[in-house]
Amino acid sequence: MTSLALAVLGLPFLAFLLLALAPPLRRHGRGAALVSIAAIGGSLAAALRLWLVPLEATVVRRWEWIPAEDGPLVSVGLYIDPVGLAMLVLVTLVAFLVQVYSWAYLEGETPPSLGRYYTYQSLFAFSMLGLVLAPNFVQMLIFWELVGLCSYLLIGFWYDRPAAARAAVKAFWTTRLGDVGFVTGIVLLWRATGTFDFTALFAAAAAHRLPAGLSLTMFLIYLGAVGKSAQFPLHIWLPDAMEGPTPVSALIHAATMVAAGVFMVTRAFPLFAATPPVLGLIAWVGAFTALLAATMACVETDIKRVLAYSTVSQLGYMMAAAGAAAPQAAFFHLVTHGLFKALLFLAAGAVIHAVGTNDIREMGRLFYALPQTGTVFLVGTLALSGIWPLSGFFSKEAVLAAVWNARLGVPFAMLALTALLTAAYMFRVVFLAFFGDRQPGGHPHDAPAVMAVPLWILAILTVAIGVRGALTGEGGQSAPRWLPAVSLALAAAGIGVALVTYQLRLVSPAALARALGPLDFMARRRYGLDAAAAAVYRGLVFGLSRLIGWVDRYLVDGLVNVLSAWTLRAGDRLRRIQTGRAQDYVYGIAVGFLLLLIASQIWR
Amino acid sequence: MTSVPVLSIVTWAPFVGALLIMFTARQRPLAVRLIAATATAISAALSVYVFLAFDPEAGFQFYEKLPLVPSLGVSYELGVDGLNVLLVLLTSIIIVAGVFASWTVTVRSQEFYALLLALVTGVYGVFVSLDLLVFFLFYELAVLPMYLLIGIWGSSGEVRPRGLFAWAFRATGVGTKEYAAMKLTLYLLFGSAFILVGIFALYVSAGNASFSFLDAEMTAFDPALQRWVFLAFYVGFGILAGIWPLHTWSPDGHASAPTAVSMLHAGVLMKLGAYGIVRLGIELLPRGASGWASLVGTIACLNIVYGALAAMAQRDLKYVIAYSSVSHMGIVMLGAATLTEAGLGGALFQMFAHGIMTGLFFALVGLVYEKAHSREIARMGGFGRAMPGIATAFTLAGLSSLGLPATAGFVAEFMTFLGAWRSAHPWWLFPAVAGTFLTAVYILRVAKQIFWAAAAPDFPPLADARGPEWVALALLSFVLVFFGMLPALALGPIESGLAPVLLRLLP
Repeated sequence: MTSLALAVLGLPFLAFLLLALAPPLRRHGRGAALVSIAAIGGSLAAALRLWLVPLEATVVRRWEWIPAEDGPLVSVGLYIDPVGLAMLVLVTLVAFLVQVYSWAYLEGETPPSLGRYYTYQSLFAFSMLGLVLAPNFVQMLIFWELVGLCSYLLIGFWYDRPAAARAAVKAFWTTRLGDVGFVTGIVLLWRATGTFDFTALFAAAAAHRLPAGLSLTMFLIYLGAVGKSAQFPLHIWLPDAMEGPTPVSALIHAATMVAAGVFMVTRAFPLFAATPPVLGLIAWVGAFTALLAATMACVETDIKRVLAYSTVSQLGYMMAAAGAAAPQAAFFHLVTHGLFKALLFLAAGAVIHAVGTNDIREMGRLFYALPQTGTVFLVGTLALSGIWPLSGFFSKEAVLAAVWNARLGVPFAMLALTALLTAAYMFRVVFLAFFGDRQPGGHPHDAPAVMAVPLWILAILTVAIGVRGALTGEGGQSAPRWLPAVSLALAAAGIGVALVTYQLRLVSPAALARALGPLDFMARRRYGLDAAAAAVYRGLVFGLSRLIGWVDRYLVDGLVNVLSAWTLRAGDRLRRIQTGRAQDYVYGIAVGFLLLLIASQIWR
Repeated sequence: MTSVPVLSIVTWAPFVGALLIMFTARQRPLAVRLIAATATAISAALSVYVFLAFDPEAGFQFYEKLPLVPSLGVSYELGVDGLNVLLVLLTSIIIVAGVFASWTVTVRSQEFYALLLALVTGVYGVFVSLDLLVFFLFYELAVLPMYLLIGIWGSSGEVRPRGLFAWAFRATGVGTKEYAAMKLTLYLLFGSAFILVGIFALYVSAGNASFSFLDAEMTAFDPALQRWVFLAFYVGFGILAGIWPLHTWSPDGHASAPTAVSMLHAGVLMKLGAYGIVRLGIELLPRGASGWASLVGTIACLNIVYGALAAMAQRDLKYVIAYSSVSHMGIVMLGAATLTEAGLGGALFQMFAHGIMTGLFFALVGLVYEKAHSREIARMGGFGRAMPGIATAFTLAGLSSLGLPATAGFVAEFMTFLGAWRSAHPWWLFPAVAGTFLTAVYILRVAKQIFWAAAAPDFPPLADARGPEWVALALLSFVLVFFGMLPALALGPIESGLAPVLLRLLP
């Protein structure tokens, strides 16, 4: 068991080491890709093997990492439980499919560039797997930061594009801001409980032995998830992260980066459960994020950005479920969303690959040119909209049920409205890009098999999970009876709006925008949030640094220079006494002697 | 115990190399470099041996003693324990890298290498000396060659005289290398006056006619004496460690110094200040240390945030790195001021980590400058395509400085955080954590501007690092990641060295 888990974790790491330390292999490009794909494939196989064997109890292994006088201060190790195993399978599966897909998607890259890409990919997989397997907060933090690093590297993969460089740095900074809270929270928790270890912390939580007053601590830890999982107001990095290659977006949005925050909250849920105020905050912020992002998705014209906002929105769903004390619902949605969002991104990548633009206004009737891509995109869209019997229906219902049962009325309403908007903006994309009447330029055609097979695998899984849910009826055991009907009705209404507006053109989009005037205006400007963040960054951080820089150079150092200049000047003045004429010196001696005489008379 | 004086060889091998260079290698640049590389390699190999053979259970080891002036109790006494064994290793790594990084110095390279090696002997000597007076002599030996190295081989920057004191800027010639050399030397000599007074006060007060550290360790000094002597040590060594507001020699000095000197100075000499505070200040004067801890820690917090913000405001690449040292030395001093096991461990580990990372930084800045002939950040851009190796190493050093896990910087900072929250002033944690965020802002901003985005137009075709330069980059990068992944290797000795310090700190 331990060795299998180590294999899951170790294979991508070995691939990374090999590629990082053997430049000839890396620069070969395709060779590097094969190494990386083989490693993540082996990792996937090992993860599946682990997952298929029923787990009797949580397995924990630890090794000392930072020594201290009385026992290790920090250890590293493995924490294997059912949730972790499911996450391992999701991560390795999506990473594997993304890497295979990239083989064809990035065929235009130069070999060294391709090698670099796969080096980062291997590191990314390793980092995320290490996070999932972390048995304590410090290891989670370590891999958490590494995940951030990898997303920085991959978002900025095309580093000579200024926009990509900006987006990468923005992603790193924004998530790092959340991490300031995360680190502080971990330190506070350690001081309060004396341990970083999940087993010990969960045992204390189960026995109600946690010290009181952990609300601030857990809030700070939650801030980490706010950054990583793109919750309001730190969601601003995510849409910009679209500057990376599309397969990277699929990876970041489905199984790695953004999943990390939600995973952390579900993992540490026993601790959050001990602090109801923080839990309530998580639910409210989650629901608000979901709604906010959904409105912004409605006005985006870049296909990848629509998907990006929908990710933010769905992350809000997951967080709301976690905040409603239903971490299993949050995790369920994380898994189903991971699969269909990877599917949507990869399908969008195939579209972009075929038509050479991201702008949905320049697309049209693609369903006929790209039937395979169109089909799988439709599957993903239906799942995201929450249509029975696809996976998204069940996980979304579980989330809504959890929020309803937790008596969170307003968040529930926000999430319900989000469900409607989700269906609307996704079908807006479908109608504009895949149907409609605008002929696309050129002769787009379906993606090659290397790209198509991952798409089909994801589509089949999305359907399969849904059908399994329909057959076994799991997911919404405690849901109110009216909920499935309501959620289906909301989705149908959303689809109806999109159909009427963008397909049948009974209502013109412009008229709709006018009707919703201020909202449309604000959403197009991202509610001014990006501008506000930029203003804070420029005004506060830069202003302060300019000030300090000036103070240091011209005040602190200025005073030193004044002292030095005075010394120089004094020396210069005193030098003049030294005239070189004997008479002057004799006068000097005489005056000095006189002064001494007088002094001796005064202080005798 | 071996009878071979290992530490003496480590210390004096560079000095012998310097003599050889002066007297045998006239007009033969390659011979100069080979002698320098060999001499430092001998020291480095032996210090690796000392590090590997170090026994955490044994206290001071590789001990040597040779009476110099028996009547006064002055002796040549060397030894390593957990506090300095890592710093000896650090010095070796940096000087080896420094020799390779300055392979291309052409002007008077003979004198350059001779002075550099003499300087290193001083640094080794300070770290391994257990006699306070000899310690001080080595300290002076380390400072003086610096003046010539900066004054002759340095480079001048541009500082516009502005503000109320513009006349003073013009009068002193701020920005020139001569100014920087003089400023650095004066500051450090000013500091060393405090140190000397402190050492003599201890000598007289102990009353056992011995300058030996081991004897001083046995003495319980009067608390009132401890208070003011600690302050003298804090100011004296603190100047070298770059404490606010006595830090302004460091940006000017480091920016003007030639590459290897910047590496050695920011990488090792600043650590020497912090080492002095831990060794003489905290270990010998525990009551004095606990009395002043609030001040030391608060100034350290100021260093962290102020240094980071000042770094962000710089336009000259070398100044950015120099101010980042001011900020990072704040972490060291903060860890020390917590007076806790985790904090002091973090401080000592940060000395090592920061030494390596800043050495790497200055090596890289030197390479970039040598190839692009510019240090002005705003003019540069898109260098990543032409120099991928340099860009990668710069990113790595940057990540370590912003405390990314899997680099040595993370472990050091995290332990300091733990110590801070455990100390008498938990609020120290917040500026420290904020500092890591600010570091991310300025480091990534600089990296983005220089290496990413579109290529800047007005530069000749640029090249990546070559031959000997790679040795420096690869060595430092490797150490940074290696100790980041296996911190226990370094923390084992550190823990053993801290045990007596912590014991003495108990009330």
